[in-house]
Amino acid sequence: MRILRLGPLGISTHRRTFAVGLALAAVLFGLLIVALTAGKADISILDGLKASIGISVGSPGDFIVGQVRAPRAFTAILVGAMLGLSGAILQSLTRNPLASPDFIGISMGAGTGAVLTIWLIGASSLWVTAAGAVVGALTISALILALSWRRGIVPLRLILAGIAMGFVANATTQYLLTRMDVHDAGNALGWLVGSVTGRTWTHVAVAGAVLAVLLPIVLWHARALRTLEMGDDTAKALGIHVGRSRGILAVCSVLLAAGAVAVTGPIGFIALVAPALALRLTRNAGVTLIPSALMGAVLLLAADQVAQQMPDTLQLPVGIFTAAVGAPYLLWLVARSSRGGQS
Amino acid sequence: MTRLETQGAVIGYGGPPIVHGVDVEIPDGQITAIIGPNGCGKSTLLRALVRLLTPSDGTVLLDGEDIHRVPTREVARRVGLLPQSPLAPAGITVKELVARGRTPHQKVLRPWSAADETAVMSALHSTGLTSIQDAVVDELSGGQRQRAWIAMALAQDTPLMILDEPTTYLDIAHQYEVMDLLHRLNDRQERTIVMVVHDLHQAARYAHHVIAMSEGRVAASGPAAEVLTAETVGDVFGLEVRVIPDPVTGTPVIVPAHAPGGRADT
Repeated sequence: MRILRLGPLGISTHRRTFAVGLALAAVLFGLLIVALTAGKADISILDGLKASIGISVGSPGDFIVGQVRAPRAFTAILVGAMLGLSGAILQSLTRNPLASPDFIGISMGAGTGAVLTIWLIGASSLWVTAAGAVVGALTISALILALSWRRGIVPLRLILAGIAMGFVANATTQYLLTRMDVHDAGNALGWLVGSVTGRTWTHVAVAGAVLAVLLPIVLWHARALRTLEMGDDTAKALGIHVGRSRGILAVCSVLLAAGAVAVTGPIGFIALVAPALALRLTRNAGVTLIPSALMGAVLLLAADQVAQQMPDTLQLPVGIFTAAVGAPYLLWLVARSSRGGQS
Repeated sequence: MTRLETQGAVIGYGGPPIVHGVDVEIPDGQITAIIGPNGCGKSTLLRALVRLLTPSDGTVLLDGEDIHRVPTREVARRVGLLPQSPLAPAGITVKELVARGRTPHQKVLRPWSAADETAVMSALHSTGLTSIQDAVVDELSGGQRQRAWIAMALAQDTPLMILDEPTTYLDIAHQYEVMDLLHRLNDRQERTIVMVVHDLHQAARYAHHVIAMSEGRVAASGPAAEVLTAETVGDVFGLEVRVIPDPVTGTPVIVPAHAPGGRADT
């Protein structure tokens, strides 16, 4: 047990969790430096860091780092963290390692909401698209919950209903694309690919705002989340407001996924894999939120770096590289469960 | 004296009530056993006593106040529960599990305190788990695991402890290990204990007070020796029985009145 103090306030964490958190933060910082400085233009580490926080270093750093690389890297970090956090909450609440917003329809619902918004009022403002994604994600979550509810949440029903609703949402999105004029459809399609390419400071602002509001709420309920993993009866006996805490946490998870989808389009597998990797590294019993968020950020930023290193003719979206991590993980889960192992 | 009681409590799961307006008082500082046939409502009553269920009519009073009006965290500091099938997070160690019992005493942004540590160490000590505190709960024997859960409820440091079938699924040695532990907790730490048990012999040996339920009503309640008679047990369970004294403790032992195959089919 390690205790971090600030006056009378403090938090307790396991030494190993703390160490893993520090290590992930260090890796993230290293990746950030690579993201800011690697490329055709020769920019020093110091200049890269300065330009990324708005300190002028002259040409070409001001533009290449300040307007291209920095917003792209920060978007990847923030969205990765949001996805990692969203997946961690969902997997903990359902006690199922497959529960992830991009698996059980939430991300697809957010996609439909965003495309619907683009269709109705155009792709004028990212904030409006984000609002559309949030409405879409909340709507599909309510539908999934209504379909799977049977005197409480049954995880398997939730996942099946989520997968089914995900297909419905995708079909709706496809239909909307056929109804749009070519310009809007192009916009929507470009966004549906799921990428951090060409993201601006507005994207960073949207992602940052969502995370800044939701992260404190989630951390405030971290103890409730851990206690809920022991079953409703035990949680209530330990003085947790079971229904209220679960509701708040579920909504936070949905909003985090919706915010992520709004900013980058749907990027798969981060929300699925990051919490599992964080759990494995920290060897925590139960959900570990900050390491999951850091792991999500590391994975997305790293995947985007790999994507950028590809030859120019192969400008592949980052989702392909996150899938390259996620698919083997899924296969590994399958292999484990067929041997009768416990997650 | 009683800190926990029900008054005309009608309890169910949304459908027709399972428990029909019962008044029970849990005597302080004693071990109370709730007995009765399957489906008689004993677990339902127990769940209402720890506000896992809300009576549709009548009330459950904790220290004279409607338990549903007491803040849930405050209830958790006075009444601890060992549920029938709790879930241990994968890979959790005994000490970590026991530490979860401190949840109602902790606040956000307040770190683990010396009082928390003392309560956890003392709970581990009382349950004889100190030497295996770093073992993973999933890998323990059934008896050890049950002791770990009881230790978690102990670390909660509540004067009242409620246990739902604490010995079910355990072999006879582990059953008595758990019952002896409860006896010690009551005897040395003066904790009030309420438990649902199936084994009448355990109820007779360990409980001071017995509440016998039948068809959602209290059929009898009082000191164990007064309730566990051939007549009452026979009525409640619908089985003719005889009572003989326990050769070790002198408490009642209940045996069926018929030899194997000796009862006419009903």
